[in-house]
Amino acid sequence: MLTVRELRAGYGNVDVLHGISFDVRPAECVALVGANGAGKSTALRCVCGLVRARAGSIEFEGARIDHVPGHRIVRRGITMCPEGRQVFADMSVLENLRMGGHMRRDRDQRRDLEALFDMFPALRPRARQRAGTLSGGEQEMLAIARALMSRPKLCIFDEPSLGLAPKIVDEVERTLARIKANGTTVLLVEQNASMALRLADRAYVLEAGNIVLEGSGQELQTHPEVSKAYLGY
Amino acid sequence: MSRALRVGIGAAVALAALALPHALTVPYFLHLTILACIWTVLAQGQNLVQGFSGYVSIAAGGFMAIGAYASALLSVKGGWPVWTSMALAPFVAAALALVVGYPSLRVKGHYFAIVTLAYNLVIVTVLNNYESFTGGEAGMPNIQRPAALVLGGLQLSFAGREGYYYLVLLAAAAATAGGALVLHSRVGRVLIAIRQNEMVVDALGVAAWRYKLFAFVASGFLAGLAGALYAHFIGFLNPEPFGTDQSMNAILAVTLGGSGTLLGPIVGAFLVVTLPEYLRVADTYRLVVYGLLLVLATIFMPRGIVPMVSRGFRGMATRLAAALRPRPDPTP
Repeated sequence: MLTVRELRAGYGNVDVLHGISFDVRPAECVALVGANGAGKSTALRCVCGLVRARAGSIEFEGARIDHVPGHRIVRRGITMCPEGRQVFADMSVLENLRMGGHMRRDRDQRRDLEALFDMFPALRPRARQRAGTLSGGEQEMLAIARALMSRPKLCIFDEPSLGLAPKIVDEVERTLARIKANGTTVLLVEQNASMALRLADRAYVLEAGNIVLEGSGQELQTHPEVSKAYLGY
Repeated sequence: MSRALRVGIGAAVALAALALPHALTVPYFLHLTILACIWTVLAQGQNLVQGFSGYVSIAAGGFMAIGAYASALLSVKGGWPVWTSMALAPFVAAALALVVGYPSLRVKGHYFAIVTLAYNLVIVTVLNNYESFTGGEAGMPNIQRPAALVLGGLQLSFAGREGYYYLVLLAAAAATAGGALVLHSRVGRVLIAIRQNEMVVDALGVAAWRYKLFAFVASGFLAGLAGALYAHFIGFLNPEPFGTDQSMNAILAVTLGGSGTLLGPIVGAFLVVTLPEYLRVADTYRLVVYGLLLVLATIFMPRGIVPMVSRGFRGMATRLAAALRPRPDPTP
């Protein structure tokens, strides 16, 4: 579904990615794990068209997307749920969700809104409330729901557990599992490697802009180096 | 506020605005009110960019100059009817906004402000130096008022201040209505989202630059309209009133009145036009006092006058409602 080959990218004079390759197959959950500064977020931003690739290729459903502007990429079915939630704080919960479906012209949006409120029952009573007044966990749920409003084929999550209480992280994990169970393909970037590896069918370990390991989620969970470096045991 | 109350207040304000020329006995006050209405048009345009999308443009004065000179040149040198030239002027300003907005909206924040500031300087420099066309600093005299209109046997003349007042009042109302239309549309929602987090807007599949460009062009259009109204009201044009000072006034009107609100630009426009006049009592310290007031206003009303007042009213209404609510009888 998504094929990334020899991707190089960076900012200014600094190269962040030194030619990484990875695949995401339909209905799969793939995780990119790695420490701070390994290049996970840059890889995601390249896929979303927010950062231009310097070399290499990105293909989505058989077509090159590495020179397609960001808003067109969403139209092809890739949506990102950004790091740190980034809800529109001064807009209501409902308006945030409507922004998520902004580029849709179909009439099913109302039904999707209902379905999302069923999926995130905490948001329903707060539909008219300013998003900035929600708790961190609720904002994360809103950001996830907003991303789903565009009906993505591939949904990308950038550090969904960042800055959340452990109990809320569990809730995020359950939510992502449900999204995957619904048939949406998921690309997950996480520093919380244990959660990412539990969710992922396959995972790649990034270190300083290179992919150093890949394998199934389970394999990596038990891999001695991974467990020592990222899981803490 | 209840709907009925809002409609009532709106109707009262509209009536007062219509009756104003008969109530104001000093012609100078009417002169200021006309200027304030013109500045309202300018400020509503500025609000589209600055208030909604959060991009501060320092080019309102420049686009106002384009509208003013376009209309003056078309009517004085081109010999076109004033109504035609006034109707075309906003489109000339909007076209220029489109051309300069397309490249400059790629930069953000302060950089965007500086780029637009440069446009304003370029526009004023060209107007000053292209003397054969614009008359340079010596200016263009004899700019006519629009011809009288006959509507259903009623003769409407714009030669006097009263007639012209109704014209600018209509323009100010139309600009405000336009702002309301944008605010409550899908476009308005995207602009406000851009103000809060442009990257997420892009990530959601919305081409933010198109919406920013729309806001910028629309603000150029309104600035051009304000310029045309100004040119034919004053009757004489030189580049002096269209410098960056004027762009700052537009920014001030929006910030003081209430950025991103619909009434804010109106309140702000009246303030920036009338306040320096009323401060004439302070004589040579006038501009110092004006500056001091602005600093105080920014410190104590960072969101502007309109949001503060409306919050005050809402608080009062809640307290009033609580006081009027029938209390449960304390005696058993």
